[in-house]
Amino acid sequence: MNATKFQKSAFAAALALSVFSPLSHAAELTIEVNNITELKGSVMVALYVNGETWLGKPAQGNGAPANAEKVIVKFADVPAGTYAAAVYQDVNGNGKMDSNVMGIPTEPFGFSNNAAGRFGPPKFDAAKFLMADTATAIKLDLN
Amino acid sequence: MNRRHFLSSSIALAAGSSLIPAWAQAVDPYYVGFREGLKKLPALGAFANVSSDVACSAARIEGKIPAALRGVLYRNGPAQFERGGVRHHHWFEGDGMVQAYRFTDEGVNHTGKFVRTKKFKAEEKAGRLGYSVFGGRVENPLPVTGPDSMNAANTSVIAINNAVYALWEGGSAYEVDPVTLNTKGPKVWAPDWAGMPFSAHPKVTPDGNVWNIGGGWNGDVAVYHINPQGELVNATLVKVPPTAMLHDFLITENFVVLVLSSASFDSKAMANGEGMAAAMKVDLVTPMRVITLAKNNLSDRKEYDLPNGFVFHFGNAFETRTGQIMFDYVRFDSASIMADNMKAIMKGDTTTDFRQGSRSQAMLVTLDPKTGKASQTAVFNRMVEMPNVDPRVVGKRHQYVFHTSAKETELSDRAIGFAGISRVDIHSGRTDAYDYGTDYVVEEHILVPKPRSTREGEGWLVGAAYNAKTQMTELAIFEALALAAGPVAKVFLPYGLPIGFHGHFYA
Repeated sequence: MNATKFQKSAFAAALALSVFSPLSHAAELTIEVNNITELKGSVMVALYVNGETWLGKPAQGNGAPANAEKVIVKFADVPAGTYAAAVYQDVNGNGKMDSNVMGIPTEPFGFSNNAAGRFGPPKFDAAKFLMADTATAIKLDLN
Repeated sequence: MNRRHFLSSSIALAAGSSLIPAWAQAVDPYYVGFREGLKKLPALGAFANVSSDVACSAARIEGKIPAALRGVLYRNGPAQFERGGVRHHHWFEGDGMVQAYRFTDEGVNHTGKFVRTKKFKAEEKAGRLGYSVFGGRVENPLPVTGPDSMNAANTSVIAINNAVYALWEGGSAYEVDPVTLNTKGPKVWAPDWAGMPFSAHPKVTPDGNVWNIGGGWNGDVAVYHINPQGELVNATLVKVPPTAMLHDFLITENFVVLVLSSASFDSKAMANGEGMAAAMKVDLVTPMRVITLAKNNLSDRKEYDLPNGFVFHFGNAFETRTGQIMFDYVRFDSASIMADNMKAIMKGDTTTDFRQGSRSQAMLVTLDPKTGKASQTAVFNRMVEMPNVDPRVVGKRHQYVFHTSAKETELSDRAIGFAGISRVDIHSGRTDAYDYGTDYVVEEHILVPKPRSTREGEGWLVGAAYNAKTQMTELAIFEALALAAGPVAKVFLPYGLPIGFHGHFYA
């Protein structure tokens, strides 16, 4: 078997597993959050699996101290599939993303793919990325 | 042409193209058009791009600066219109440059410094324009997280208890250092009011209390009351019919007065990428809505209708002895000045008849709470803008309004802006005016009261003008009650700056 054939069949096997196997593979997801300007509080990341739960009920959440311009947030066991990440910096440590009286966020935030909305948050599709069944890393910027 | 010639000339062409600076290769019609227009109409220099801070330690003076005129004139206005060979499509988009003219015993010095807003820094880093509010979408827009992403801090500047703020219309006030003019950052009046719109026309009562508004486009208007120490006393959201642009407002002793133009946004045009200016529609049917709010209870409100119109600016409001409210404003028939004139100015289109969009008139309004009726009369028959009153009469009965104005009823042919100033008695219509001449484009002129005087208007009128002949900026000082006599002194900057919007003087 040559290399190409091997890769193709491995890909097909992986695809088959991810579609048909009830035991979907989980791996480590690393999210690199850049452009942290105020070194205070925590960077909070939420992972969503589809448009219905987007910015509502996250599949997983994790955080890290906002102690550098670049912060890494890791998720140990993320099943392969499609995800979108929403990130905010809890500058004052009150456990929520603060907004002003008109509902405009007053703490830094960002989304996977650096997706941006016009007059509101981006859609799930604009922020979605593929989590492989091996370790995966993505980068995004806080605004 | 033989082959050899052909080859060498095409090589020259190829080599030459890499030597042409990036801007000359650009095909942005606004960037190129403005430069072409400037050759035909030097007055367009009043809207030319500035790309760095400026300073002058001793400006040349003609005449004699009055010995009692000491202090700082702070000004603000859009000054950087271009990045990476691309020019904004609307005057209002330019990054704000705060200027300070300091009047000292040694003479007059001048500093102009860009407000380093989030927008300024993001665009500077990107090396290109990344945001547009009024002029239509830019290519590859930079991310927007809220109104402050686009905050150009370019509309006015005010000092409250020695803190100086550069103001915009849609977002936070930006604090700058009173001496160096270095940017400190967006002002947060209260945690849950961070990033809220704080407009560029705060009203300061003679006892130092500051009232301001913000927003309005989504039907919520923020009303702020700040005490003379610069602390927020109260901030409230007031519901109004959504309005296209609530630029200015009025106060009296007891009331906040909001006037909503007959203007709305065409949401379809906005969705198609039109800027706010082009998407703003003024109809000839919808009346202008006047809303009065009691200062001590903002939910105590009355509403009035005025004939249709469009307004940016107000002079002043006051209550009469019989309980009526009177105010003056500058009325336009349409918002064409926003959509057409400013586009033409930015594009260098010298074929535009600027009189069309500039047709404005000062009006005097009376609101009668007993009958619920509003009435208005024209103050005088002259195209005007940038009304300014004596700071000692804000919210109180006033007699004089100072405007930038046309020499005759209309702008002269080919003039792109006003070349004159005037003082009008709003009760009698009597006028005292001065015309700089056709080489000039003037900006707002401000009344500076004389120390120890008490009479309204007793002071100096101070303002800058762009001299198209020298391509330089000049600041003139007038006896405010004798404008026709001409300036008593003039200050000449060694550079030309675009004309600005608004400012204040602090003794």
